[in-house]
Amino acid sequence: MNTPASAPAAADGRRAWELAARACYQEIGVPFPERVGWASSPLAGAFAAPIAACLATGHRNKRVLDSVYRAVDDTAGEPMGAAVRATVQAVAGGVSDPVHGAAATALHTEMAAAVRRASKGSAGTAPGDRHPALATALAVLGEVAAAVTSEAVDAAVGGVRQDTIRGEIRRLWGAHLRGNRSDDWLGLVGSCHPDTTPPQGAPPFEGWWWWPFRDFVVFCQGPVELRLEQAGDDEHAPHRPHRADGPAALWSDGFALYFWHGTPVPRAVIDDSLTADEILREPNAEIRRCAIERRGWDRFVAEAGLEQIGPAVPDPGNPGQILTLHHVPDGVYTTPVRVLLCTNGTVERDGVRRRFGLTVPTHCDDPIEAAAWTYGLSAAQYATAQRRS
Amino acid sequence: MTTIEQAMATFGVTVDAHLDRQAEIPVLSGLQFQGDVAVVPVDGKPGGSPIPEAGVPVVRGQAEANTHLLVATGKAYFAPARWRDGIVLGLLTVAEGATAYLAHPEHAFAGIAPGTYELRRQREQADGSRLVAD
Repeated sequence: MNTPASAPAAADGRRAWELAARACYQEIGVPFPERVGWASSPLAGAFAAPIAACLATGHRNKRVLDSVYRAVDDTAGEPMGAAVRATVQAVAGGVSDPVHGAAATALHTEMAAAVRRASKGSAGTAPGDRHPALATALAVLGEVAAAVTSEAVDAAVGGVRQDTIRGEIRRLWGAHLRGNRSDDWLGLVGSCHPDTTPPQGAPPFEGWWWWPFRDFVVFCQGPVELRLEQAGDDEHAPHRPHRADGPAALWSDGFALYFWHGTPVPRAVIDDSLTADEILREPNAEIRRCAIERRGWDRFVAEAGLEQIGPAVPDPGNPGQILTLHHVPDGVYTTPVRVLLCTNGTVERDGVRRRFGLTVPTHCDDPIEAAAWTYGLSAAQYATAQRRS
Repeated sequence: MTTIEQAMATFGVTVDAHLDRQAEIPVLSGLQFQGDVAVVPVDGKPGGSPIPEAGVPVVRGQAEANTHLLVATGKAYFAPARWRDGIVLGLLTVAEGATAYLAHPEHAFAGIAPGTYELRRQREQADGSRLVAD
């Protein structure tokens, strides 16, 4: 499932986020700021909002500002650096107004309560409610985006070198309205949406976190590309992020999140660029499993030189095809397993038969016993198979 | 014997174009597999509801693309398992003179002769056992 952003839907979505934010400003009796910026990704916003706040409070040390921009370029890449500069430019411009700016950052704490109050009067439904099967996927995406952004913020400004801007980035990242992925906030946004059912194919959300100040407000755009799959056979099964050949969620500035069937993984897992040794040494069991599945057990068994257990035997009912059973080192899965390599009964479009691995319990000592176990059969029953299609 | 082409016309299920449509479909009374589904002969008590003309999706594929659909000519009955997440999908009874088929876009057709069978789903030992999706 692919949901590319369509321009009119995105514009409607932005209006909804702005209207929801206006309602919150009204709650705390602060005029909605004239300067509104849309950061291109959660990471761009996490850098740009605090930098703009520093400039608004009269920070004039260009040397420090340049070194922070360079740190972003060096750790997150120059396209991200450019996205951050553009957002700062949009909301801070050349203006610095220490008098107004001094009160700016206080809005975060007041705003959390304002969201709750403003949402009470609204009859809106959260995007997740309008698409119940998507709610889980969106929650996962929000958490992972926060974790990845945290790491990137830390990499750029978490070092020993500290100054006003670096300190403000770290402080404000902690204070970004995390709660605004909450039901209250999304309900408020939903009630401001001009049409309660967004057009077919539109992403279920158009905004993300936001950073409210007295002088300006920074909203964060949603991903421009989002790949989801359904987690089960049932048509009502929840969706989860997944993509085997690239990021499952991609923002316009290149900020990207990678998922294997709902599990967040490093890019190297999806790019399939790890060595078998690196996969075996990966400390996180989930990531290890995803990396092996992404590679395919048949390739992994060969590359890691996994020892064969018992003979290679013809697959009953599957003429010309062979079954082999292999040892899997302890700790690769949390549960001890062996792996059975088998071959499909039907040829694929490209004329070859797909080879694949199935993990089986370690009490299976030969390939037939292992294959039988996968269907809950005895080895003697499995040996009578007449056909595999 | 029925060919893939004839079965496609009868049941309205299209199989992948690279598969030989003139190939005859073996109709078997023994153990057979269609990908992650097993047809296991059992001495069960026949029962279940008649298989409707539209068939019974015994395993739904993602986005409806890779569904294992149970269809039949003549009298055949299917009783789905009470527990949806188990290895047993249900009990199939094919009456004398009837033929049941499992249809799947990638695996074509598996022909099932008169008799009683348990349909099962393949599983894996993961961190906790789980079912295979092919």
